[in-house]
Amino acid sequence: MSTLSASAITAPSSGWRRVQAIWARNESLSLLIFLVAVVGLFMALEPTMRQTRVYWDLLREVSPSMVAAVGVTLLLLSGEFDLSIGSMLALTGVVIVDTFNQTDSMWIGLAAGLLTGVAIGATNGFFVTVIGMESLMTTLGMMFAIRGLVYVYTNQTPIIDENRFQQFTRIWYRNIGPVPQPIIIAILIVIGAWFVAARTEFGRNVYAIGGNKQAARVSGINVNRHKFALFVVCGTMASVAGLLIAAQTDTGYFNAGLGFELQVLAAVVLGGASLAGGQGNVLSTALAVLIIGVIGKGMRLMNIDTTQQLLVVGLVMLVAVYYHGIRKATAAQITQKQEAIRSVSPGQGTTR
Amino acid sequence: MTVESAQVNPALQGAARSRSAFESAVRRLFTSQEGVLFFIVCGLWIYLSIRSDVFFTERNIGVMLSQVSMIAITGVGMTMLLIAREVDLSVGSLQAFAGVMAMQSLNSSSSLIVGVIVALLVGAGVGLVNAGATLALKINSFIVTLAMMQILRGLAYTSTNAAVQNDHKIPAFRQIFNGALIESPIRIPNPVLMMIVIFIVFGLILNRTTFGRQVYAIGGNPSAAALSGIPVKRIKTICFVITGMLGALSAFMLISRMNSGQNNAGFGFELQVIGSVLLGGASLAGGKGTLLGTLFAAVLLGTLNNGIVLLGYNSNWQTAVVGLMILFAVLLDTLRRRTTGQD
Amino acid sequence: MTTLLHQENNAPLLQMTAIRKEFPGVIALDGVDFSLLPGEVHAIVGENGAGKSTLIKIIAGLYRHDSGEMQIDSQPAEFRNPADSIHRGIKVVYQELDLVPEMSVAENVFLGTLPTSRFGIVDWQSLNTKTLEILDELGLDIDPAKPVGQLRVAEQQLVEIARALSLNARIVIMDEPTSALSPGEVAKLFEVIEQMRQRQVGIIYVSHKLDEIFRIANRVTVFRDGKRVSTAATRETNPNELVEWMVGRELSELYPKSPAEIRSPLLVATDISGSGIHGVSLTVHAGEVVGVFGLMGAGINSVGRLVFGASARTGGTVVLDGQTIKSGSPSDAMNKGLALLTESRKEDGLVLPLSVKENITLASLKRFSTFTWLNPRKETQEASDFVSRLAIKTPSLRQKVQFLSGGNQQKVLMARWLMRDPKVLVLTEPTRGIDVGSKAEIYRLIDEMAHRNLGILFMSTEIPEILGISDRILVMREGEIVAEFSRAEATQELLIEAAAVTRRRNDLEAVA
Repeated sequence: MSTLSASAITAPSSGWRRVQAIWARNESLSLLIFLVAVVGLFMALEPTMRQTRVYWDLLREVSPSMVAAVGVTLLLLSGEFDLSIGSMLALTGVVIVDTFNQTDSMWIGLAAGLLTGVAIGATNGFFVTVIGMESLMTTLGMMFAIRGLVYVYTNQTPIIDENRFQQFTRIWYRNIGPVPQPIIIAILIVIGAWFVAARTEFGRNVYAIGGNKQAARVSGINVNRHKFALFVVCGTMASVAGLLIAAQTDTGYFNAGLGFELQVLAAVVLGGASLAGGQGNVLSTALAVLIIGVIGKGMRLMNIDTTQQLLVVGLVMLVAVYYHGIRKATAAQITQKQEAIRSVSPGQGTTR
Repeated sequence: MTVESAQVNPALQGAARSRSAFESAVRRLFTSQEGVLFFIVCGLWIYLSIRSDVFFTERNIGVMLSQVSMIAITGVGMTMLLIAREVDLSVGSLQAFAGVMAMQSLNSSSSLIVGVIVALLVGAGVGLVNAGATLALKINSFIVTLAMMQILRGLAYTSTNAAVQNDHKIPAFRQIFNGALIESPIRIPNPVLMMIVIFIVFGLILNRTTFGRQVYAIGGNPSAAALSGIPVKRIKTICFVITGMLGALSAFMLISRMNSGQNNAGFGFELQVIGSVLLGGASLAGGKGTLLGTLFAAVLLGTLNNGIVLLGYNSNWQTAVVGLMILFAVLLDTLRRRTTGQD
Repeated sequence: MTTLLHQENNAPLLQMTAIRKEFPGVIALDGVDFSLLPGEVHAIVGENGAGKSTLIKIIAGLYRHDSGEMQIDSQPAEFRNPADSIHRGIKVVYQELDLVPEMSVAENVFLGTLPTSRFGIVDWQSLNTKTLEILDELGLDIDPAKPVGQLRVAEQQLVEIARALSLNARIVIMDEPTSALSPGEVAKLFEVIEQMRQRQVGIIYVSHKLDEIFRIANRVTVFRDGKRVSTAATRETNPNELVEWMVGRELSELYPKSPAEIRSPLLVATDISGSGIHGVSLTVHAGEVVGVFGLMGAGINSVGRLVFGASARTGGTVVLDGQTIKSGSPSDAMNKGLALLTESRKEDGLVLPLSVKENITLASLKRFSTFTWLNPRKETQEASDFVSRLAIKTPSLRQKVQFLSGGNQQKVLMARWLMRDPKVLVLTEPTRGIDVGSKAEIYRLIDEMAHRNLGILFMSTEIPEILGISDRILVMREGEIVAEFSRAEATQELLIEAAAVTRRRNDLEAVA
């Protein structure tokens, strides 16, 4: 093809192309820029958004979503869904506070709460990997089943912590320095998940499973075992989120986390994860959670009808997904062009 | 099993055709999803009639089916969409948004026709936007309609509850979906009548027209369909629009029955509709599903809810039962596919 | 049989006895025996659908055999999954590229066996050095950190082969490893195979390129329709014998080519480009079968799609019987009398959940409807006619097409297009993965169509069928047509020579 344009791309002087390539291949970067832009926009529009306090509050508020989104992202990397996280969140809260009341022990309550997520994650994993049921449908069923169970058990009345455990509510309200404790928990989980996904054999195998399941299988990777583990992880993360929410109000609320699964999924998708699996990373997801959080917070402070956030979030999601699509297409195009050059210029061939 | 034994020569085949048609119809009744659902519904109706005096009365069945009708009617569109390998998560929010819009236009125009037309236009418009974003921008419809779900909910909230009360006092407004055109020999409430008509019309469209066949083909194998000259995008767009319009129709039924716009209506409605459609035998992978299956699934869920109340169980079980039924349906489908060696 | 050739006094690495595997409606393997000795290259040949890949998948742990016994090092082996097979020292290089496109070369080479330090943390440094060593052994200069999706097809195939070296496997299975390689790369591969043989590795080499088999293999086993026909030492047999074993009949019987009267040009494609095709021009006359041959990745599939408009053309024109065919519009091509049978039956052809009848009539629905309203009786009648005309074996018209055998599925697709009464039929690898009987019937149909004055454009990667049924043969390489032969002058050697990829760097290599 044309050797002229070829040299234009490889030439170091062509800074714009290079910028374009960096942009196209790096989703976290775009999200970070977007986040800064959104923050800047609200700072300009709304004076209260210029106070640091607002951002500490914001970080506290988004931490449950961030934790749950990590689990969903990891699971989605392998190409599977979990729609039951909202119901799990409610069940965890109910189990925790109810166990408080039954046993008068905070630690037993917390343990029971986390075990809830593990157990339901394992159930989801069993249905999907052992029986071979489709995850979207299975977890949709689980979502109703668990929510129903919560309704039946609580008779749709909130369960209030009779012991008023101070230590429990402090999980939510405590600050370490100026930093709210929940966001520290969330960030630790994000970093841990990022490390596992990017640096460990388990994580790489998960990407392989999502990228080409057949290739992973014939390479001797036990696809089902990995997926099962991810369902358990996702369930556990949902329970951690449920724990945080319950600590906020010191109550087990039957309607906690209604619609949570779709909000989280929206953030995960905004973060650039592909519904087909194999693409996405937890850092981008965390940034996306922050973006949605800032938009919500900013609009609330501006006294825009609170419910209209939904509208904006919906629009942002659509634009973001479209944008990610363009970005990926550009990345592929750049690759193709470089490929064309490579096969034309003999110097870069496979000669040794 | 039966496949091998049936490999007879063509001449024999002709002679045996009528008998085998009957046989296969019977076999289908027992093995297909809609057949199984039919038997479960029958069993449940018999059981409930024995256990409760109230169940098998004209009034109770009428009320129950009226409640089912909104899910079932929206389910008609959703079935077509799922067969064509697309999905619409925005029907729940649409129920609120279209209802609110219809109520506002009723209040300002005092004309029933205008209200109905506005509702249907809103539904068609939403369907068009969903289709456009899915097909032109090539974004997965799951995501497009998830976003649309938030957007419509937000738009619905722009009007407050007070703004969408019944201010027009058109007598026919309440009557249209609370009354019954057919009173004898049995009283068929209008929502149920509507449901029956829609199922028959769309049943014919899906099974007896080239359009219906093309919907199945697109979902079964989109690229094969495109290579066979089928206008994939046009047909998917029509499915989106039909879903939107039927969703809007059910929204109108809701505001008529409630006598006011409901901007918080339809929370979780989309999942109940999709759940029914999938329970009825459709698959997210496309290419399969029947309206009869959807209808029976919706009736089954309605019956379960009704039975829970009539037999004096905690009504909180209703949500759990929906979930368990979906799990059961997926399990059944998975096991059946395993044994027939499909997939 | 296995005692026949013990050139080396070793116990077999792999011994399979009376292996049977059945799928719904098909017996894929029927009492097959097979053995592999250390330091041996054992070739497997057979037509598509003969059972080669099923056998490989059983050894790889992807399928479990229904009956029969498999032994490795004289120990019984029962694999539940590929991991079991890998643990017993078996490595398979698949024909379909089983790579994860987003991941790096190094990660793909070591997929499933990534080197790790403590806590399962990937040891990137050792991953890179190990990968470089292997790539070096193969004489490849590829950046290990590069995503595999950015490599050329040939490079991807070499990465696939590199995977076999990543484990010190004792049994290596290669399924058509050279289908996208240039002669230089093939020579390099054979060197590597020779080294492996020295190390007493046993190699199962699946290929339909008979010249390669006679170059590299010690023994060859021929499969046909799920049965093992014969096993022989390569020095005691010859290509003609192998082919006869493979097809199980006289070649003239398989390819019922009878001269048809070739008339005026029907389809004229001029300088078409797009989808990796550069400036292809070709003409198909009425009554003529034009064969297009090329190696995997040469672009023969794309030509069919471009002509038909299934892929958008970036340049060039296609004229059918005087009418220009629009780019990117299958329905326009169909209406003007063109039909396309795609290379992938399942992906682009069959609508699996639908019935035989519905699949046959899919492209002709207009014929059976008035204002979109279907006439079921007429539809059934015409579909039924085609079922008997093409001898499609199905219990009924209502049978779901997914339960038919590959050959009958392919005939259903032929029926779909013939029902439209096309002027020109474009067939892309129509015999891939079907049994010899069905192949013969498809060849017969093609011949019959030619006699009815249809023009046939026939794309294939298999030389025997190209030679068997074409009136004229075009050879493609890297998206261009590089040679044309008449039926009389074409030979296997000429076709391969023309199709083989000779890139500039191989010339450089030769000089160096």
